[in-house]
Amino acid sequence: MDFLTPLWNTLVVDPMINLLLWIYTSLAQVAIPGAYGIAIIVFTLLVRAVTMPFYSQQQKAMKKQQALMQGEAWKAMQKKYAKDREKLAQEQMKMYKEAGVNPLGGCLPALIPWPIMIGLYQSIMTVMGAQPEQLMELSKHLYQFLPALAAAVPVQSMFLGMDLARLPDGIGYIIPALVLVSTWVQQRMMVMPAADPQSAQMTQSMMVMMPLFIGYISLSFPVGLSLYWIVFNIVGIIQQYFTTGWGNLFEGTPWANKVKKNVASK
Amino acid sequence: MNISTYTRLALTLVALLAAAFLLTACGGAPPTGWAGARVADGVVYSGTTSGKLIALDATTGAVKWQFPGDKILTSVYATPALANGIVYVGAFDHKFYALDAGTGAKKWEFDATAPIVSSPIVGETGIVYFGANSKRVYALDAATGAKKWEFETQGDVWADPSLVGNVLYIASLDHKVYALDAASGARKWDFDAGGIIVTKPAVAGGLVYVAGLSKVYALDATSGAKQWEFSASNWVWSNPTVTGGVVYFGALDGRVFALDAQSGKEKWNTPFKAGDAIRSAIVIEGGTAYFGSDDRKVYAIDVATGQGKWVRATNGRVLSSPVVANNVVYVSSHDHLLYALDAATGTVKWSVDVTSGKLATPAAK
Repeated sequence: MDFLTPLWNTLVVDPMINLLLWIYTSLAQVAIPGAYGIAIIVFTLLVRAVTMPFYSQQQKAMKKQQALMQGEAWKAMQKKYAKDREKLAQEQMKMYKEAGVNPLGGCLPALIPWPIMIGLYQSIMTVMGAQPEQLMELSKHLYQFLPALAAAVPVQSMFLGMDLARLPDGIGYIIPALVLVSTWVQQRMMVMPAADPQSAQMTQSMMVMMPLFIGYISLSFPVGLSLYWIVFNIVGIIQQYFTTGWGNLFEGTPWANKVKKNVASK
Repeated sequence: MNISTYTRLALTLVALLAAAFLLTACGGAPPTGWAGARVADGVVYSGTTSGKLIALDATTGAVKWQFPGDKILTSVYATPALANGIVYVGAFDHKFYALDAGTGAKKWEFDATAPIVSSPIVGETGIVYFGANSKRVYALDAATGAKKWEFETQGDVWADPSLVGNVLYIASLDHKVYALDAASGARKWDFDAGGIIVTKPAVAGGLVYVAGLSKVYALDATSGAKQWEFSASNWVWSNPTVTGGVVYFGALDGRVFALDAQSGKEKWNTPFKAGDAIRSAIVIEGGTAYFGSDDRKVYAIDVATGQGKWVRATNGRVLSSPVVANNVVYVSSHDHLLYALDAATGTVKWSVDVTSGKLATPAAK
C-alpha cells in the first residue's frame, strides 16, 4: 500500500495544502486579522462547492424516497403485509424500482466526498503545524514554484481570541458545542419520517448519539479543524433547506405545524 | 423498519466511524519527539519516544532510572544537558525539569506555559538557557530554577541555543536568529533569514552558521552581518556542525552537504543522498559523519569524500541526532529502541526497548 501515499499526496493533499496556504498568504498580505481562520472558512466553502453536485444528488434522492414513504401506496402496502416483513421488503424494492429510486442513491453520493474531506483535514493539520513533525512534513508538500508559501510559515493561528492550532480551552469550548449543534440540526433536517415505532426509536437514538459522538471527538482536535467542521455543516444545512425545507427539524415542537403550513403554501 | 432506513443508518454510522478513525490516525496522535542522547560518566541520558527521560548504563544498556515513574511527559524533543550532577530537560508538557543525575529525583521544575522543543544549554555562570512555544527564551538559575530573565520573540522557539562567551545565540520560528547578552537577555543583534529557523546556530571562527528554510547563512558573530549564503536543495532542519573548517548539515530531501566554512563553497563533488529527510544533526567523530534519516536508517559516511561507510536499518524513523562516545554511536529510533552501535561497523552492541525498559538486544559478554 506504500505506493498509495505518494499518489494520494500528489492528487489530493498537495494541491489542497498549497491552495490553503495561498489563500492564507493572500489574506495575510493585506493584514486581515485571523487570516488563517478566514482561510479555513474560504477553503472549506471552495471544497464544499466542488463536492456540491454529490450532495445535491443525495438530497434529491432522499426527497424522492421520502415522498414515496409518505404516499398512500406505501401505507396500504404496510397494512397489507403487516405480518409478512419479507414480502413487505420485496414490495418496497419493487416500488422503488418502478419509481426509479435507488435505495442506495441517497447514501453512496454522500460517501464520495469523504476522501476529499480527509484530504482537507490533513491539509489543515499539516499547515497549522501544531506538532513539529507536522511542520516538518509540510516541506514535502509545498510546490517549489511558489516560494512565497514557504516564507509564510508558520501561519498565525489566532482567530477570534482562539488558537486554531491548539485544543479547545476557555472561550474555545464554544467550538465543539457549535460542532455538536450544527451536526444535530443538519441531521434532524435530513432524517426521514420513520415507517414504524422500531425504526423511530432507532432513528431517535442515532439522532442523539451521532452529534454527541462528533462533538466529543472535536474536543480532541485542534480548534481549526472544528472550525472547518462547523462551516461544512452550515453549508450543508443551507443546501438542505433549499432542497427539502426544514425537514424534521421542528418535529415535536410547537412550531411544527406552522413550518409545515409555510412549506405547503410555497 | 424498512430496508433503506436501516441501510442508510448503517452506512452513515460506518462512514462516521471510518472518518473518526482516519481523522485520529491522520493527525490526532500525540507527538513522538526526537530527543537525542547525552553521555557522561558511563551513563546515557535521553528523552524517549515513549515520553520519558531515561538513564542507561552506556556499556550494557541496563536501565538506571526513568522519569517520571509511571507517568509521561507527553513527549520529549529536547536533548538533555548535564552540569554539576544535574540533568536538565524540557518537555512537550510545558515543563522544564532539573533532575538528580544519579537517581532521577526531581530537584525543581519550571512552567514555561507552552510545549518545549528546544534543548537546554548550561553556562559556566550557573544559568540554564532554553526556548519554548511561549515564544520566549528563558534563562533560569541552574541550582534553583528561579527565572533570571526572559526574552520575547514573535514565534515559537524550537531551536537549541548556543553559548559562546557571554553571548547566547538562538533562533525562532519568527524567521530571526538573535544574539543576546547571556547575563541580561538584552538583544545585541538579530538577522532575518526570510523563513522559519529550527536549527541551533553553530558558532566557530567568529561566524554564526544558521539555516532558514532552504538557505544556510554565515553571519558575523559580533554584528550579525551576512558573510555568505548557500541554497540547499530543501529545507534544512539539521543542526549545522562545524569542524575542520567545514560546515556539515542535512536537508529534508535526504541530501547531506559539506561547505567550506569561510566561503560557503561545496566541498564534495556530489552531496550524499539518504533515502528520506534528514532531521538529525550530522555528528562528526574521527573523520566519520553519523546521522539518522526518515528512511529508518542510521548512516556513517566519510567526511573527506562524502562516501558511505555503513548503514544500519531500524524499524522506525530516525529523527534524533546520534551521539558518539568511546567508539559507540547512541541513537534513538521511532521503533522505540535506543541503539548502541559500533562506530566502526554499525553493528548493534545492545538495544533497549524504551517503552518497557527491557533489552531488545543484550550486550555481548
